[in-house]
Amino acid sequence: MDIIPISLPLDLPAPMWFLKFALITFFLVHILFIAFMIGGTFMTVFFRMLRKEDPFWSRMAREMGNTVTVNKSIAVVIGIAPLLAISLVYTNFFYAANNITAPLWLSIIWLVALAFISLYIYKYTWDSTKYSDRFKYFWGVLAFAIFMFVPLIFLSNINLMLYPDQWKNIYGFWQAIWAPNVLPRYLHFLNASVALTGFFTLVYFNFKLKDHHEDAAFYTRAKNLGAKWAMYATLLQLLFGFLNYVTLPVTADSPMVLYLIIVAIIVAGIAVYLLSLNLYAGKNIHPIIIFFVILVVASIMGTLRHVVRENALREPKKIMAMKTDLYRAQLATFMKTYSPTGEVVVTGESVFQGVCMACHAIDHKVVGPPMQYAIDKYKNDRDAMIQFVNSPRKINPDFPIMPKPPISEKEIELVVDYLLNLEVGSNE
Amino acid sequence: MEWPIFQMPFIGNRMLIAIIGTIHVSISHGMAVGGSFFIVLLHYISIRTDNQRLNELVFKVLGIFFIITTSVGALTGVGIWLSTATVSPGTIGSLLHIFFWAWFTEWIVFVSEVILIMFYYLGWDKYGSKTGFKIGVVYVAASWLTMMLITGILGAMLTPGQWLATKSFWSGFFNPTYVPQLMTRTFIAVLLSIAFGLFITRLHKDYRDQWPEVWKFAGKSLLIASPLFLLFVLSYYNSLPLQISHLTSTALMTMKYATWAYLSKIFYISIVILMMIFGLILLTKKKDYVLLSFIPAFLMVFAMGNMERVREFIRKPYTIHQYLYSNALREDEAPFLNKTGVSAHLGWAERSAKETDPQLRLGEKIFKLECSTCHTYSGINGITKKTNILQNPELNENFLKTYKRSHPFMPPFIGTDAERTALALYLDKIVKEANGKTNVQPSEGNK
Ligand code: HEC
Ligand code: HEC
Repeated sequence: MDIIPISLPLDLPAPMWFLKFALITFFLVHILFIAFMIGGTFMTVFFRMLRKEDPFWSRMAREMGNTVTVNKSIAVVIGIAPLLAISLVYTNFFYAANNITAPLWLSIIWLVALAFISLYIYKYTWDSTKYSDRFKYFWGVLAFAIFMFVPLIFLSNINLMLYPDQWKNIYGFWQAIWAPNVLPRYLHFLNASVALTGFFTLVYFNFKLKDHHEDAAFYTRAKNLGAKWAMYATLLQLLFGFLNYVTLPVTADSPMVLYLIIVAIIVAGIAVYLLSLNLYAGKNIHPIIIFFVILVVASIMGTLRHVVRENALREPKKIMAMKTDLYRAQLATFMKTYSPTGEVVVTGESVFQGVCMACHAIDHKVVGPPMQYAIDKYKNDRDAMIQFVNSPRKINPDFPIMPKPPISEKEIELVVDYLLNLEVGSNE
Repeated sequence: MEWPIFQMPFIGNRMLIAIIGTIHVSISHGMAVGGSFFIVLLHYISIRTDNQRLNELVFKVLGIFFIITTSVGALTGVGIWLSTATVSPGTIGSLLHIFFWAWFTEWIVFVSEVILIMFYYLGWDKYGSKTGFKIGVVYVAASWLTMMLITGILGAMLTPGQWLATKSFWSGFFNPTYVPQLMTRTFIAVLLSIAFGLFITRLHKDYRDQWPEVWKFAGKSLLIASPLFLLFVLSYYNSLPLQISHLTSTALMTMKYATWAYLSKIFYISIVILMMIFGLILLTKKKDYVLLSFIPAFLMVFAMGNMERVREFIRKPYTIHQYLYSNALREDEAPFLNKTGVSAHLGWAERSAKETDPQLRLGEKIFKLECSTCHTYSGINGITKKTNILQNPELNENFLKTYKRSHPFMPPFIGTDAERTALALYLDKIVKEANGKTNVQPSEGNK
């Protein structure tokens, strides 16, 4: 925890609620398109490669390929907004996690660029007779493999960001993925991508069906395929969601998390029910309505992740604030007396006012306990007090641990002497 | 303070950013901003002359622009965020606090730009020439708008002008170099796009019959755009802060800077003359010379890279002029840290420190904190190669005490006397280790 960086001395450019709102909302849009991109790539590559017996599949592969061209680009540009927002809302935590996984984190750049180019090669050689099938599939499979891998980098990072107490022990991505919650979340995400691609396919081909009645047979079948993916993957999500929840570290959990999960399950149940009516009871509920229902589920999930982040970072944020206040108070005190030429006189009182008073008052609790308590405790043990201030330990369960004040030994002695000699009515 | 430390092996942090940045800027300027302009004008010519073959060729060239901008272009754009934030989180964090709204607005324009190019390219057949052309025009406008916004941000880092006093967004944005820089970029974008366009056109051999059309157009555009580019690039140079040359004590630096600025001017003048000659050849001969298809592209990317370097160089030792040093320490906290030391803030340096001797280890960590942004160990700008200066602990320490005046492009050493000694010892150790003791003057005598 002691390597959480000190906050920047600059005001936030927008109200916190706005930034958090932007983070949740745009991230949601981003991740929807990412899901469409991953699922779509799966369809465009593997439907064509593995199911040659029936022309439906290769047609489906081609049509999905066209959606991927668009969806992948939208996914990337939309992604910038949540990146900006998270960099402001969780500046220190986010950047710290990025640093720990840096080589892999930076490899996202060229990996995804490579995946996109591969997809273009795959798409624009589709009808060409110059290239072998093997050549074409190679690029498709490569793109898909990269798309499967990159989310893992993001997840390990975003997970690492939440647990500063682990930063000390984690060196790099390959260690970071083994943190308890990463792989379950990854599975949860992949299955969500299957479900969301199903919903997308359903809506998209329903839309096309309206324009191309002459092709009703294909579009109806494509649409129903989407509905099936959506329905079964949503059901399966119960299992992955459960895994995800049970591996959630305790610091990230709270009753709110459970409430949101229950609501999400209920709403997802409605979506599944509506899908099953369409598929198996001959009803005709408009896909847009069903899509809207699943959007609600996705929004609940997005909010839930936010609650998790806030829970996990509650303590670390306090520590960061303490460190920051302390540093600023010292800097300010120093600057008051600083002149580029003259020397500054330090006294125990000035140290106390400049440093300790960020967290302590004499007779009441601030961030730390009242000084009166410390004076009573260490009255006859000056060295122990110096020792403590020099290297604070966790003492009282009701308080967070005191950060080490960055002042010299000399100053510590001065302030301790000042405190122990204070003429305040002691409680004896 | 206390930001995580990242050290890119061998090429160094700055080179990493420079590579990603130059790729991105070449693509975004050349293929999006300028490229959209180039394509839309040719598109217009094809409509006006009712030339279906030319129209097809334009579509093919646009296709390459589309593929590259939406893959490498887009990803290196994101890459600038990821890499700069990894290399200097403190700096990017600060910039983000100050310029968030500019970036947010830029993002909105950027999203529309991407949507527009998808309509323009993917809907080429669907919308027909007339509507397609209109989409193209809006696309040009959106691309230029993104550049207009981002230039404000880049300029503010260089010459923050009033921002330092007011901490207000607009005064930083419309800073003294804004207009010259924007115009320079606009014309460099135009020139780049012509250069790329020439190259890509030549790859489409089935459209050989249409090449003369493109050569003619490119020739004309080169003749018009090159002199304008020169005009703006020179005015941009003249608007750059010249305070460095007022520091008479820093003769070395001034000399370096003056020679270098002078050379740059000659460099740009020659490039422009070359481009104009190319333009004339293309316009009059309308023939295909292999050399003409790639030399301009090569020259312009080079010019572009150089322009970005000017910015980087002029900016040293700051990333935000007179506010934040390149190593993410703030100018205003330096006196405080000189008194209290930086030792309390080395948690991240500790992670990757290797030395076992406590004093050397302290020195190593300070090196990581204060120097590693710009110096690798033995790669680009490698510290162990600075044997002319770093000869023994005493000289090292002297250098650390005085280089603020002699080498003002580096952030001054920040820390206590004891910390300075530790750094001097550590530098001595790694320099000797890397060079073998013989290359360096013996220091034993001084001990
Ligand atoms: C950033 C906030 C902060 C600052 C600044 C700070 N403290 Fe503390 N201090 C705490 C907290 C929190 C505790 C409670 C720690 C615990 O009980 O684990 C504490 C506890 C103490 C204690 C009681 C230890 C005990 O045995 O229970 C002493 C003595 C003390 N601080 C002295 C100082 C002095 C002297 C300074 C100034 C040099 C100082 N503190 C500055 C937060 C701070
Ligand atoms: C802003 C980036 C930057 C930082 C930070 C930086 N330097 Fe440098 N340093 C440079 C550049 C640029 C050069 C000159 C390279 C050249 O000669 O072309 C240089 C040159 C040097 C030289 C050789 C000077 C000479 O005259 O040959 C030494 C020694 C040196 N740096 C040491 C350090 C030390 C020690 C630190 C950390 C306290 C440091 N630098 C931090 C950018 C930086």
